[in-house]
Amino acid sequence: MALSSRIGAHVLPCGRHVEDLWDTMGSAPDAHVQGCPHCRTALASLAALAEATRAVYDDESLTPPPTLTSRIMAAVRADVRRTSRLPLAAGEHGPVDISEQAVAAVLRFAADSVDGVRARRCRLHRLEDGSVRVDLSISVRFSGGTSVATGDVVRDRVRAVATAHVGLEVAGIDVEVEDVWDDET
Amino acid sequence: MSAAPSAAPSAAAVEVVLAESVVAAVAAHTARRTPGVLRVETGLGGLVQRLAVRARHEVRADSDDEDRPADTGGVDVELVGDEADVHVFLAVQAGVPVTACAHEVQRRVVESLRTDVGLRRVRVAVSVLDVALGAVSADLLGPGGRS
Repeated sequence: MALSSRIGAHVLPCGRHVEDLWDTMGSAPDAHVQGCPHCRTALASLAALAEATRAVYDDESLTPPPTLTSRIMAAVRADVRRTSRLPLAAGEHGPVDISEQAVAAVLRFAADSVDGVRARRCRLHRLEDGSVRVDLSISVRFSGGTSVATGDVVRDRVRAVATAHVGLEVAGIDVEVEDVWDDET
Repeated sequence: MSAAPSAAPSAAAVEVVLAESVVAAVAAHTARRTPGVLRVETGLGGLVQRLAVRARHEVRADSDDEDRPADTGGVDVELVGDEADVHVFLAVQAGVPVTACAHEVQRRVVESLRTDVGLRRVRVAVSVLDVALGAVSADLLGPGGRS
């Protein structure tokens, strides 16, 4: 299956693209893939898919649907996202949880929305009482304001989204300013 | 729902045999129509299943869409008698409160499995695998990020 474009690429939590894994199937995995649980889960899923669909596509009279590649990549990513989940408040009829990667993406988005802030990494740690600790690293625009004040704004914004939007109980948020940038550059 | 075959004609002991795939299809259908739900996340298992269904239909050119098996991907079902444990995997839209949306999915799935399928006890677990951050994500923040 030829993949000619990076548009709509599906990124794993480690930063690798599912498309790249697909391309390298059949050759030996590199050092990163060997040690990375996300890549290995995705690879196992792709291998299972290749096996399961072989019979279907051995029949040359069948044409795969045009959106097939994108659907495969989305499905692989969904499989990876199943692996680590955080509990939310249970409903009357059963438990509810959410993928850690989905929460991290939402919280990075929340931090990005603060003027002069770019979100980098976001990691979540589940505590014993069911609440969550957030580790967030950001880079900030160098300006008159102090990065301490910016950190507070980011922390408030992230907490509001995590609590009101997602429904997580947040024990604390650590914001690390990793870098500054200048508008001039 | 015409999927559940009825067995005995007498009213004494009517036994209805339900397949787990029927329960899954009803749950997926209901979840997909709950406000705030973007899609049911099938994963590869569901995708392969759908491709296989599609392939079978292309091979059997005489078949029409009427008997196309329902879409059950993204829902796991364990059925014992008239009691079901259901697990729904979802992607939700940005801007909807995630927990509230999941609870609404649970209510609706339980309701439809009780009334449409006739199950007595239903438990529904919901896993949100994705929050779609797209054009609508401005809704997520609102003024001061406290929407």
